[in-house]
Amino acid sequence: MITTSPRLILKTRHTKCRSNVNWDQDTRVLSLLLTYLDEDRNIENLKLSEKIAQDFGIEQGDYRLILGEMDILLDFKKRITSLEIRTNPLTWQPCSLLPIPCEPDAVFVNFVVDYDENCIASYDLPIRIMQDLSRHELSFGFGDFATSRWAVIADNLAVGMTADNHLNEFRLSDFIDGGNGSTR
Amino acid sequence: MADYTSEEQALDLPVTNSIEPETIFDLRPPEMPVGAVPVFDDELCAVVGYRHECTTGVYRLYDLEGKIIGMEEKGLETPLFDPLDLIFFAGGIFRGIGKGVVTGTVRTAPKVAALTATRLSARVLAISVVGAMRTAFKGLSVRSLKFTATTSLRMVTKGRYVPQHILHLAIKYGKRAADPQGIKGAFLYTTKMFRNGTEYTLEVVVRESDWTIFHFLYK
Repeated sequence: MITTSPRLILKTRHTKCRSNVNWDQDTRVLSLLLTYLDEDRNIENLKLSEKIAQDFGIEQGDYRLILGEMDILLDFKKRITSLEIRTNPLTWQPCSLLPIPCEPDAVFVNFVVDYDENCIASYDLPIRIMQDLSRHELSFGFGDFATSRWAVIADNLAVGMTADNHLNEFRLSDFIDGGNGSTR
Repeated sequence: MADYTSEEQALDLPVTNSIEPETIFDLRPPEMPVGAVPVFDDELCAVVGYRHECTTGVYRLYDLEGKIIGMEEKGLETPLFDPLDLIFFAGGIFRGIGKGVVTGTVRTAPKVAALTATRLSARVLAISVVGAMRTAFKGLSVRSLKFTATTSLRMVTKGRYVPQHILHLAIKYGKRAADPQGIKGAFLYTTKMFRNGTEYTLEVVVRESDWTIFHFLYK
């Protein structure tokens, strides 16, 4: 297993991405499902392999990236479709999170990782979860570095990167609290 | 912060076909010898036993619980698992025992009587061995597991799915510890699991009072 967070490549996103957050208090599983709206089905945007697969009706596999306790599912285009983490709210550190700068770019995040033959990559990363009660935000930190760049993955999910483009943080906004298990 | 209320509703999963029928999940009993090759049953879409060459030319056949259920010797008799019926899969996995048992006698019919008889007797033995393997496999599901809404969803998500019998085996053979997320009555079982021959660590969190799976993950 690898112990440094993966490098990210960001690609501008012109489509909308909606996220559906679910907090299962009883089993302590927080999950986000991402849905890409207004998807550009223009065939010219597909890679040759994707076009062939589409023409022949070949189902293309999903990818999985495990970052410590966080389980990320990606579709065959390697776009995030689901994030899931099992966590105890009692371990969330209350704090005042630095606000995300206004209007960060909307992006697709491409994780630069080596997937195995099952399309799975595992990173043994400790995750530090911080909760800003006043701002209704949760932060999932992967290191002690400063975030130098922000980008928006979905309506209420942003990603923070280090100066050398490594994943530093996911930020979930509009999260009320772990006890109620809901978003605004 | 509301504490855990033990009221999480447990659901029985409907019996459905594997959502990843071509994926080979394998979780070995601790006593299984190193180098044992899994036997994949195409009808059940699952590994149902193991074959291990204990000495040169002599093979032991094991069920999923690690019990020896048969032996075969190279060259002296028709192999229980006819090479014609088997496909070597990546990582050295035998496939096709379901197909072999069903079609073997049909395919051997045109051959000479003596050979056919040998093969048929071997087939009878093979059927008993396969039957023993399948019995052990199905026996794992006698104590049915329950799922939460979240884990039910995981069971229909490609890439996260783990077959129920593998979850059973993880609970049977895994290392048991208190739930790291602090739910009373729930325990974490950790064990090695193979997916298409690649090793992962499988974690299963289960509420033992009613065997409800709270979480599972391999990484």
